[in-house]
Amino acid sequence: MIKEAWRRIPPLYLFLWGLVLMVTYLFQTSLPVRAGETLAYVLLAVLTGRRFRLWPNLTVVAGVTLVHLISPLGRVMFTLGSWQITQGSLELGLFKGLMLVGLIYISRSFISPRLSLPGRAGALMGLTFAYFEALTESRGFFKPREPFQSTDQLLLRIWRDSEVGEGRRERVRYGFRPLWILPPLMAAGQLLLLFYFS
Amino acid sequence: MTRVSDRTRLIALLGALCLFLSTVEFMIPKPLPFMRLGLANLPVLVGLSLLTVPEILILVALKVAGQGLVNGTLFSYIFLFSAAGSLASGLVMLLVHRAGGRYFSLVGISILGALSSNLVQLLLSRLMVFGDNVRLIAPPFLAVGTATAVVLGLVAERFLASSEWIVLVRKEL
Repeated sequence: MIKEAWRRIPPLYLFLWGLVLMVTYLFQTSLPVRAGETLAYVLLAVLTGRRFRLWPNLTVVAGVTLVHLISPLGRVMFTLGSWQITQGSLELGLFKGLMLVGLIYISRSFISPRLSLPGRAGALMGLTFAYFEALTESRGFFKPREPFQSTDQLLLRIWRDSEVGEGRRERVRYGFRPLWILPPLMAAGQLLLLFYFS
Repeated sequence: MTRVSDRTRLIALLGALCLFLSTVEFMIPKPLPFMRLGLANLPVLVGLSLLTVPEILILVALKVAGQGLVNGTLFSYIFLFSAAGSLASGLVMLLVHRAGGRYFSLVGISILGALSSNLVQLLLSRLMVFGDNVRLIAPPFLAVGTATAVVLGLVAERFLASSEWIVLVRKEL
């Protein structure tokens, strides 16, 4: 239900609120607040129908944290052999790792492929997406035994099809829904957290 | 409706192929999220001998913007890394192809493109994420980038040599 309602919010509206949220998210300096906000964005992305995979996100956070732990910073928490694990580098690593994950999920919820750009650039992007749809709709074309030939035949077919790009893109009816209020509410909440915790 | 020119259609179709291959790459499990195969560079390699310099640059811009929209990464570090890497590799591949195309095969061009893209991305990661510790991820990152660039170069050469679509496009342009 949320997924469908989210789809009916105009892409430009989401894009602009996404920009606001990204800026207020980046200015946050408290680690617990950033962790909470990141979790909220992951949850929103899942609710709005975006795919979530735990392992890649965990490896991003763990990888960035691990690399930061190599350079000691601040109080020594404990040692592993001769390796000093310091609080400052642990917090900095977690902070940056969470930031990378958070930005991805802000993007996933607030950027739509239906976002259309004006002018010639917009028209070219529209045609590109029409061809992209034609490629993704051609399931079963790829034959592992003949990878070059099967890809070539698909490109030939799409190239010869002059109708591709003419009115084939999905039309969505946008209308005001209560869910429109969520992005400004999130921005206001994030701004409040910024004032209290940064 | 205005008839779209064949050159515009070619840029759009190669751009769509970039998006398609980037989606395929997104679905391939990788041991580390920083590892990139660079499949989406294949249409740029193929386009080098079909498009003009400004058209190649438009194709690179389409690839970057389209990936940001399709994968929803426009606000993330992935977009910045992708834009910087794609622009660097696009410019280097163009330069090498136009200036020394007789001396370099597509495999060589692909390797130089991948190296420039990876070096720019390592520089960005040094500035934004890892600091001086970037030296630890640099060797596997460059090794994977070079190995996949060799494969992509070979695939591009084979495709250009055997494709009926390329023959038709060359005839129509």
